[in-house]
Amino acid sequence: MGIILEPHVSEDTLERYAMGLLPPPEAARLEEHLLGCHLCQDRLQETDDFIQAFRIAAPRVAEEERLRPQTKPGEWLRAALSGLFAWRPLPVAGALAAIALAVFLAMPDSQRIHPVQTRVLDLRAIRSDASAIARVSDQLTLRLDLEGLQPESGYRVEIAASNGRIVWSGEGKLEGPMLAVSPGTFDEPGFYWVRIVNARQQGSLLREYALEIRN
Amino acid sequence: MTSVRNDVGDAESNSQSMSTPETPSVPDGSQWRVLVERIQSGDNSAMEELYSLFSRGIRFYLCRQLGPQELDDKVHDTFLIVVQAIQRGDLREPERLMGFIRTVVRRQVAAFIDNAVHSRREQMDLETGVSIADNRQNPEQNAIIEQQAGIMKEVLDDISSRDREILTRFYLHEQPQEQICQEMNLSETQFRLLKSRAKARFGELGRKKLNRKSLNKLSMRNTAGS
Ligand SMILES: [Zn+2]
Repeated sequence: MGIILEPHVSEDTLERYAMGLLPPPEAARLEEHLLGCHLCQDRLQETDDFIQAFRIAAPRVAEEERLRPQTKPGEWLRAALSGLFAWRPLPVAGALAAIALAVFLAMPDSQRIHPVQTRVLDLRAIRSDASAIARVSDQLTLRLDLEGLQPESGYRVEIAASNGRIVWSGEGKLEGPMLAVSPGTFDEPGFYWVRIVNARQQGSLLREYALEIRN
Repeated sequence: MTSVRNDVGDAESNSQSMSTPETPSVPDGSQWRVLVERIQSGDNSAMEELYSLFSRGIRFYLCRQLGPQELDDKVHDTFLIVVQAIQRGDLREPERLMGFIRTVVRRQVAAFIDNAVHSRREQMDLETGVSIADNRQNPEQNAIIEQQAGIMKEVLDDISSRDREILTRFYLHEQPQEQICQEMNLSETQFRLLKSRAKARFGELGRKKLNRKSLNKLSMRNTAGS
């Protein structure tokens, strides 16, 4: 059973809440409504599903789109080389082109094209989903959910590889109820731990989030 | 999907879908007061009433924040804390019952997260820095997420690259609507319509392809009375 709680939450407000962009007072009102309203619970679930699926699928579609013209046999290479070597004596240009082509063909497929793309990834503490997946080619901005913590300055973010080695650390920037950091691209695929530590209290661990980087 | 509805303001009304005979209307302040007094006097039926009104919402919130693991126990613990706090007289303004429950639930979420972080840290210390297995990787959940991503890919493959860019700017890069409309030469209505169509298509394909509800909903069906 639920309670009639009209008016219900608007689609825009639900979206902003799902994306962590709703200011705390509005979020509080919405959460009170959600506690008793089954309809809006279902609508938020659908919104969450949609956004999560979009954030996984959109980069894949974009990557496919980028790869499409480039993977036509040798076209991009010919275009690039024709400009680059236009002024050189033909035998030199030919030899360099052959070397470049050989290097290109010798590369594993995963290394051939790494279009760098900007990606914002929201990480939520403990919550079990697989949305925290990025690619080595992503220029990452991570937004860490501060659920249960005071949104205040003084938080430091560390990223540790699965062997415990710290691969990145820096100050977080508060963005509403989230803490944003931009670690850039990752060199190695694998599992990482993103941690919020209290810079004032000898780096005591406050939150930890899992992040997977794929090729 | 609900996205095809016309919702322009901050709030909207949809009494049709909520006015089923078994759905009670929202109690006003005096009704909350009566309910709170009955709980304080140890009336079991009042506790059942409170549970039937809020257990699904508590469950939904906990599941969204913490995932479906041990959800029944967490809901039970949280509900107990709410009842005990009411019985102790911690709720001084009964008409603020919903805000009070939200506060308790949020504190519980923070406590669950703290516990999980510390027990994970202790386990990591024991293993001298070697990370423990990632318990977030639930294969069934991942399969559902992948299926949904596949459906979304179909939706995105079917629309123009311009429309894809508009949606990507909003959902992936989180650019403000005003900026997107200005830079992409788009009216607010066109922007809303594009989002609504994408959501409707995603919902439609999802219903066709996935004979299931999300894990969260599955978990919720286990709740008595919901
Ligand atoms: Zn509602």
